Amino acid sequence: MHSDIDAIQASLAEQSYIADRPTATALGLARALERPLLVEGPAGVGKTEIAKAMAQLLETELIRLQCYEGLDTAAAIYEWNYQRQLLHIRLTEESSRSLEARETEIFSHDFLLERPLLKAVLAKRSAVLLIDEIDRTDEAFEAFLLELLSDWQLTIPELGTLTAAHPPLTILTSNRTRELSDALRRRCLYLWIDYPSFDKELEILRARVPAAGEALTRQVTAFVQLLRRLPLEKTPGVAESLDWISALVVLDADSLGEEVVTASAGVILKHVEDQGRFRSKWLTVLLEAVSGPEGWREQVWLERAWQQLASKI
Amino acid sequence: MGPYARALDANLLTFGRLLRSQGLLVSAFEVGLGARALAVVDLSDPEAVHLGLRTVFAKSPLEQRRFDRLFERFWSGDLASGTESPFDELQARIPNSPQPQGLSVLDWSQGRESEERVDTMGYSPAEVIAGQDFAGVETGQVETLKRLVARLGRKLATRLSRRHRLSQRRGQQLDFRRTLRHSLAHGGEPLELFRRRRRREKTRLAFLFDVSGSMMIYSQFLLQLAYAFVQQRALGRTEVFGFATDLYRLTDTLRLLGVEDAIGAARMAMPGRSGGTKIGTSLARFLERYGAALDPSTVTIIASDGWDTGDLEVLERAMRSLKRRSAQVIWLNPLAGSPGYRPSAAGMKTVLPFVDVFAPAHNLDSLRALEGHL
Repeated sequence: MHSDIDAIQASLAEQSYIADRPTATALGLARALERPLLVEGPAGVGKTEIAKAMAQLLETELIRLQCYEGLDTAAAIYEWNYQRQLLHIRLTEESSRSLEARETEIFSHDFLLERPLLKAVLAKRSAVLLIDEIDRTDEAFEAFLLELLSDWQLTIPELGTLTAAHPPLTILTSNRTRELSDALRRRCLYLWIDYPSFDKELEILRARVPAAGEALTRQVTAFVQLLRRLPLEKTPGVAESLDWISALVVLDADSLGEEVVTASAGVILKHVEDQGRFRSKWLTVLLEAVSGPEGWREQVWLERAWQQLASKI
Repeated sequence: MGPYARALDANLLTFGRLLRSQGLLVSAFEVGLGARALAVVDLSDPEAVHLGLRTVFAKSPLEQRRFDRLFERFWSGDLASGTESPFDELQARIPNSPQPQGLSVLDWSQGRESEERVDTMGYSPAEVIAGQDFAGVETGQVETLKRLVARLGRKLATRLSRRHRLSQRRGQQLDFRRTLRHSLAHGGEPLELFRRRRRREKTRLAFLFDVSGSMMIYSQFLLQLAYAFVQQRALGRTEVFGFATDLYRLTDTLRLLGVEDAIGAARMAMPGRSGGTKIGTSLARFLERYGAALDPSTVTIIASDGWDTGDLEVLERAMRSLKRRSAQVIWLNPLAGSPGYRPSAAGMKTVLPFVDVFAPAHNLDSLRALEGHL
């Protein structure tokens, strides 16, 4: 069965999602053991992408619940379609049916608006359920979720208890803005995704933006890898390096130069202070570091370049 | 189940117990899950086994690092030989096995108290005199402190929520569910309209306090204050951190236990805190790790004497960012309680432009006075 894990890694690569072994292992186990997977890591490292790629791979529906503070059951589970209910009451006003019968009618499936969690429970085949940024909800919702994740049952007072016939593959993501409860952690398998290594990032950029060409892709990877080691207010993730290299392609750049980097810096650095210090202190040395003749080879090069860079700053 | 599989299970059980003894959340249930994971991964590949078990057993980056270390030690020897795992021997070979926790926490914290006093004597006699107030705060007075903090909390909450209340009137929504249910009684005519108010955003609080050498004598008081902050209900989400050269999140530690155990455990959670202070670095780390928890309704309270042995530029940057991202920044400086105090420490001068309220906090009275400032 372990071929599953290798298969997942290979098929994800076909979806242009570069999964390393820990990621593939975690996804394989989440499927095999039917446990939810909690994915943590800094912003922009591709946590959400995992769920999308998995849904494509399994050729199933992706159901997404974006969490925010104050998320309530009406937005997460279900809501009645009030307009339709009102209309229905009007239309049946003259009918001879009893009040009870009419009440039963308007509280039936036809008048139910399925929100993500109910959708996942009612799915005809196992879907991928993405519960995004779970750390943004409050403890009360987390406790509710804990119950749902253990028995896949939902209770709607008017309809009774619904049980999932095909529980979804569940992926929860967290940016760690607050610590999740131990109970939730225990319920889940765990995957930590960090900023990618030089090689992994290079592979990701190659796969996702092939138009950039090898030389530029290597240079951008080297540049971003070094940039991440500087004391920034907001460290750019892979999402930023992808945006950046796409922007460079649009700008028709085939290598990094002062002009084009200055013009596009807003794509990787999204903080005014970072941009200021980038322009005044780091831009020149960074460019120098990634444009040397033997430049941007790989991890070994990166360590050496970093040491040189650190001595100049 | 073949003999090999059985040996594997026994080893897994032992390994699970080892992990638990090292503070990981592992029970019989996780071990069962681990056994199922081993059925899925390629047993001939050590890396696959390692990653598979880690996915099941380690639930944070810290636990993953711990797991990596223990996995290496455990499986390199014992599994291959197939002999029974000498658990005790293994325990002995692993450095820093923590002592069984529980009773010892309190003994430890009380035992330390006197040593700390001695340490600080040598540091600065003037401060010790100024700090006598704190030594007097007994655990019994935590209740008073809690009441006081609750009052402070309510005050902060009402003062800062005025804006929310205005926007609530506009944002008021019809509660369709109730309106409709009640309309059935009138033949579907919605005679009574029910309204729903948006859930009120409570003011949040972030409390960061200095536990470095120069603040040692205040540490008991500040820990009690932190405990009171975490326990109060007037404000929304409250996060509490101690810092010296590093940052320690204490929210859960202080929330889940009784006051004495909580304070003891919090002390245990902050090793090596008697060195210098890197306020700037600690605040920067706070912003980086937990910064997303700040929002325009968060009040940030920092308790420190402002003696920063780190880079002042880092401190300034962190303070500017803090100021911008919270509703209000309050700085409590215990030294400000001594007569004739001027904020002359370079660190203190750096932070003052970014501080909304600067107040002494060396005893209960000064906290009561703070209530008036708000």
